[in-house]
Amino acid sequence: MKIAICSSFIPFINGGARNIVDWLKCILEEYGHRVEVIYLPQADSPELLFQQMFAYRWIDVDSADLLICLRPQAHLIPHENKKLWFIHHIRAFYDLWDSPYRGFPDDFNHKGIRDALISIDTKALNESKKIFTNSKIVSNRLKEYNKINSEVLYPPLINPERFFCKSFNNEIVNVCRMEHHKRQHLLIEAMKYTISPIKLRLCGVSSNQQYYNDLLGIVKTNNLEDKVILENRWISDLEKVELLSTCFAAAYLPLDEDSYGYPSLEAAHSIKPVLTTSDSGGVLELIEDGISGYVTEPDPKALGEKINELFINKNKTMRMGENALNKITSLNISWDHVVNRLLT
Amino acid sequence: MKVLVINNMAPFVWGGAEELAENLKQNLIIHGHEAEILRIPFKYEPANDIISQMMMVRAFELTNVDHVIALKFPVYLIRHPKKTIWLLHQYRQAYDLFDVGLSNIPNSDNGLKLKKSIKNADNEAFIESRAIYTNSKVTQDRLFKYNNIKSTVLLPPVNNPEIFTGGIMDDYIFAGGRINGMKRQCLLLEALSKTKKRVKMIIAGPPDSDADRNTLILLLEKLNLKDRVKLDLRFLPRQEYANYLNKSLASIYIPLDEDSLGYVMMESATAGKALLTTSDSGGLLHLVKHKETGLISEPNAESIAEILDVIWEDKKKALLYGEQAREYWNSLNITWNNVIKVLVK
Amino acid sequence: MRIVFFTPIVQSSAIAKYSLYLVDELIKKGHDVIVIRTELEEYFQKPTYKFNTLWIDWNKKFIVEDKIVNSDILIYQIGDCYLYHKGALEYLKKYRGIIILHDYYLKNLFNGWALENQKESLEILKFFYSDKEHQDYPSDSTKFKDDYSEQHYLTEWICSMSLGVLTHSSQLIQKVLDSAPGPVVVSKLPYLMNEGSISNNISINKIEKSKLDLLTFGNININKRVKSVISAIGKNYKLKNNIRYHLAGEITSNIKEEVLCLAKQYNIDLVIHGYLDDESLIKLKCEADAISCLRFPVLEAASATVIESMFLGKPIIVTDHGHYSELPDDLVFKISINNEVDDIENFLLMLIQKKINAQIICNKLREYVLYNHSLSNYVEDIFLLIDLVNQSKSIFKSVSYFNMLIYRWEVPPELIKDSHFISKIKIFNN
Repeated sequence: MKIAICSSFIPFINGGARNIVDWLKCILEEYGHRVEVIYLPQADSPELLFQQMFAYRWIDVDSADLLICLRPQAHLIPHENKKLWFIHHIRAFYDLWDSPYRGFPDDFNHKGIRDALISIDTKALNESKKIFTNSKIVSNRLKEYNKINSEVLYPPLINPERFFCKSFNNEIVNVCRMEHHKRQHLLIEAMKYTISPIKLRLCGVSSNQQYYNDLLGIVKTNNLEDKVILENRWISDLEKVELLSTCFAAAYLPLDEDSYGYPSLEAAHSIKPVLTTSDSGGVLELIEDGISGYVTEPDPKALGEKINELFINKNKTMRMGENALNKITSLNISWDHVVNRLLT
Repeated sequence: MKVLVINNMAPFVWGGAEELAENLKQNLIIHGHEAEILRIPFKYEPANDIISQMMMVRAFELTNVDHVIALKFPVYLIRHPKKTIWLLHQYRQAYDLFDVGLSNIPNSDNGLKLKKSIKNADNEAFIESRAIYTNSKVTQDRLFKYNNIKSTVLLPPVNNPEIFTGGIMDDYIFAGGRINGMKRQCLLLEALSKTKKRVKMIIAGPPDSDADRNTLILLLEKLNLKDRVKLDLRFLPRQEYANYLNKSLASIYIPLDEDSLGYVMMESATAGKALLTTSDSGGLLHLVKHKETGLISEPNAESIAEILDVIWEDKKKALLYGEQAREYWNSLNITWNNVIKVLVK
Repeated sequence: MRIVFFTPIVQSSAIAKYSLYLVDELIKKGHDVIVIRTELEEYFQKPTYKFNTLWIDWNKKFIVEDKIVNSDILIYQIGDCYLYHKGALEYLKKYRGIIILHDYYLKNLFNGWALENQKESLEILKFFYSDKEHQDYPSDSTKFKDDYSEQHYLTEWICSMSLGVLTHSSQLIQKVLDSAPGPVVVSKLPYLMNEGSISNNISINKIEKSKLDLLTFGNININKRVKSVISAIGKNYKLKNNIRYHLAGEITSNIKEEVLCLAKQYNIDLVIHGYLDDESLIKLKCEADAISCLRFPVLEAASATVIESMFLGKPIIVTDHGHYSELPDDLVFKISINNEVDDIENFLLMLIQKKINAQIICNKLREYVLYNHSLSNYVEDIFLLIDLVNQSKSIFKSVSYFNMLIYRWEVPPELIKDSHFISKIKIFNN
């Protein structure tokens, strides 16, 4: 089949969506299909929203037998055989409308923009043959705001066999971008309450120099230099695999994430349990409290206690790691499943 | 700098322009920039839909980009304060191809208005760009003739020139490039049937269509040239293509009125091979100087046969012309280094 | 939300009265309303309605523009009278908003405006009506005005400058739909209850009278088919002897003379009251046994007169044309324009022969008006339109962007219509 995969992008920003698209392309080609990936620009500014939606409307990919759309406004592209792997709305106009993250006033003008956007989005969504999402959370949002049903299709990792479990040392690791909403600061605070052998290793790039400085500040203020290892740099795949193979647990506690996030999936493939919080959103679809990790209040003391437990109760920790791995199977997180669902 | 290269896309089609864009991107990165390619699907049938495609490009909003290099119509209509055009193609069907009746734009009232709209939009794009370069003199001339815009010729370099080492000559003349009517491989076969000597040739490249492939094979049979001509009709991996070229006696390429120098000729010159062509082959004649860097014949079978014989007989000439072709090509200094420096000034 | 409301406010304007009620309702719902009065400067000294909010003269340009720029939505009352709506036209083109369209026929409005905008007015005629009929405009403005053929009402001129349109009937709605770039809502013109409302006083006449009283009230002009009524009464001796026909309202001396002459010719009992004050008019309305709301041609989208008459609960005759056709057949008596005089005659005969059950009609009519012409429904519809316009406003901005490109690149409209340009963007239609 000739398959077109389309997603919006911001040049030079490599977000999660790019991985899904690029990996999906690889996999579909392995299955013998011809794949064309189309990335189109998209800026979220309210004033320019509709102008760009018009542009997407005029995109013609009729030469493809199947069109798979990911990030908005890709779902606006007309096609007879359109399927969506919907990973998020333009959240400022949806679930973040009533939050401090909106980024513009909720005045009459913007309310009009929002209503119009929801109306058009809904029409466009209804054009597709099938809608898949990357999590129950996103499916719920689609139902709530656009009154439309969708099927959860969890995004797998490419070549997950890279990950393995070698040993359980004294490090709990967090390998992901260092941003405020990823909440590395909570983890550092938690180390005030952990027993001495345990170390926290935070690895990843930060787009926000201020935040990184804040993290350094917390370490210094609380004299945690011995307990916290901060590596503010790009971590290669090999390094990541290595770190996860030897840690005793992984931690991933983003605020209200859309999906489980690659860090938790990577940990599960490495047969390690994940420490997360009750307000981490999609992570909870993979990690269950006491089964494949711990889910605590987003409070440093509570986190610290669980870190201790994970370290002390090695057997339970190992079992929970296994459960995490099994969860991957029971949730059907695999490319075979993805291709199966997308192509039938 | 964050440089975005922007090109058209015909979904599932990959050609020379796509290779160029890729190489441009790679070389930008080598030069220390961040580079990405934006490929925008372009629908031009039916002609009336072109307007929507122009609007579409104009409506896109680019953020987080320092510099844009746009290659074709309609993507050069995109808005950005720092835009350089390296013109590979205007929409020729609104210009020179329209004049010779080879356009999907009808010669009607509306058709003429569509032409005008395209021209208006083009002129806006050219005026708002920082600089305009073209990939050949032909494109430059056309741009001036139809849009009254002055531009600078910036020839696209050979991609990975290091594989065209040249070297020991085997006993065949190489005819590379796409296989279709405009490239006139059939004329080559006709010429071969008229040579005095037993000139041998390898014709290798991807046919545009099954019809092109079959026509050539049938003609080969008909002219009974199977023992002298090897047909390798497919997309050749780069190294295989380079091998054919490197070991050849000389390189022959006779397209009808090609725009630019043509990769085949540039690569042949890089490999130090004598360049054989016809007088109506277009832009590549800038590279082929008769009896210096190669030989030019009349565009008919007899005349082509003559130059084939000359080269076949006198291997020393082949060698000499080849050397001189390489020298001349190098003197033109058409390198990626130069190109990047110019485009991202 | 912050609303800027363009309207005449002088008491002589019927539309001003609607605005008074409407603005009041908007304020009651908690919105911030500023009124911009739109009548001619020369009328500024005339008595006005007392609005419950700040009002500003339209010619105080800087102040008005300041208010506009700081508002959420603009609402323009538009009727076919340049004297009352001049101020609206000064801002309409530049500052789009919701138009409440009271008349489909807008030639008087256009004529008034064209006097100071000659070149543009000619271009507008050419643009909307490309046929060569009014090449001599504005020198033929009288001929132009008297041409009631529905092709050139100039509805399109006004609607094309709107963000959304509210109109009061769906009769000539296609003109609006074709030219308004935004949403269009049809809502019935509301019946305005006032304190000294006749609703309390009206009753079926119990007093025995020698003759039955037929009334036509309002501005007495040719459209009100007075001559046809006179002819109908005149050709039947039973009617001549038993009907008294009243004309109440301003009447020009020309028309008065014509009408008197005709009445004398037919020898019918005609009383021309001329302009009456409110009290006298109310008394006359109470005493009437039937009301003639005949009108042809029909230039307005809705008639306050007929709604009021219906609320009076009297038997009514209307012309079976325009928005009057939309009225229920069992509530009003419809007169065919092709058989006008005979139809009127038949009605009047039924009236004097007591074949019309006035009591039943009275109750039905009132119920109908209260239910179908309620102010609260009207206000709700306005809010609906505001909401729709608010949504389409942002899309409209994008459309404007592309319109600008179409203009700059000189793209012919046929090309747009014929291509996938339009077909692919249908999803943006409200």
